[in-house]
Amino acid sequence: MRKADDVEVKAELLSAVQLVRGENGRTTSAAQVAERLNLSETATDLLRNELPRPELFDERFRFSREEFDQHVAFRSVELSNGAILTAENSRFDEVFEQREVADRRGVAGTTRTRMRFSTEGEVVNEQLRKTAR
Amino acid sequence: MMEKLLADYTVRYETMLQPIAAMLEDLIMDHVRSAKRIDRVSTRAKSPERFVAKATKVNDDGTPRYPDPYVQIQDQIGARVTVYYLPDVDSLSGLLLKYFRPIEEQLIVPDSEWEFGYFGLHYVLVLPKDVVPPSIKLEDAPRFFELQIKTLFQHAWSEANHDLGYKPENPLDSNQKRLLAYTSAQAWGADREFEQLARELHVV
Repeated sequence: MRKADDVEVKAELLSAVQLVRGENGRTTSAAQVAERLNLSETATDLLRNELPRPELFDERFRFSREEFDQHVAFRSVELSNGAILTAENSRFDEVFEQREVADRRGVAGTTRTRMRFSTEGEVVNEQLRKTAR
Repeated sequence: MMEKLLADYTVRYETMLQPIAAMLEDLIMDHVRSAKRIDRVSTRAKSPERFVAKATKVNDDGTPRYPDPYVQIQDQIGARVTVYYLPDVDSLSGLLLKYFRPIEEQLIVPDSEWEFGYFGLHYVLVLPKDVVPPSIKLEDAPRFFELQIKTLFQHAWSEANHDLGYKPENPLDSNQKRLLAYTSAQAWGADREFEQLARELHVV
């Protein structure tokens, strides 16, 4: 995902990460997943190139959501205003309510949608760091 | 012939087995990330000297023990995971067998209850394709690797035993063998004491 420069491809892969969890228990392959999720050619190529060997793209395996979540444990979203929102990947959409807002100050020449994220909870930890991660 | 085997295997060792061993180590580390009380994960490619020594062994009737050594010697790549306590051996083996396909399982213990020596759980597992770099043809890579799961004391004893107990130029005398057996018994006892303590303290 980090290697996806194109914002749309990144968004496509982010959605795929959510949708692929629905494959739980199914015997499938990366190629079949890409086809079923209707991934674009760019996203499919990116996925294929990330595999250790090209043959693995067609290798069949049993998809486990539990295992998948261990590898994609956290999802982090960075906003144009500098905010970074992080939550467990499997619960991100529950933790952060999100909705599109009218684009008052959109960056010229981009098709990015302005989003508002909101959440509520007790503060259990707060940290200052030199870097975001 | 032995020189050719050594030369061929040395190339295999450097260009194929070492890169595969490194990738296998990363993969196993990834799989055991969530497990508790792992002391270390290590992999190694069998050294050319040890491979040739094994490959040129003969049976009692003089025939080669491994007529096709590249296929038949299954520990060209070896992995070892060292855990703290005896119960961790079982839990870790359960975890790893979720990811690797076993061909053989062997719990190695001395032949008699009156003997002490090597203890350990060994598996021969199918080598996953993920750890074979794309520059290497799958058909050339080993099909299997050996996995050992050991406690800290089993690991310590086997390392020292390997270092001291296998010197063809300087074979051990009876008293020295007994000393090694004695240290194995101590390691065996320490594992049981730690197991008992860990259970009493509800650590395992």
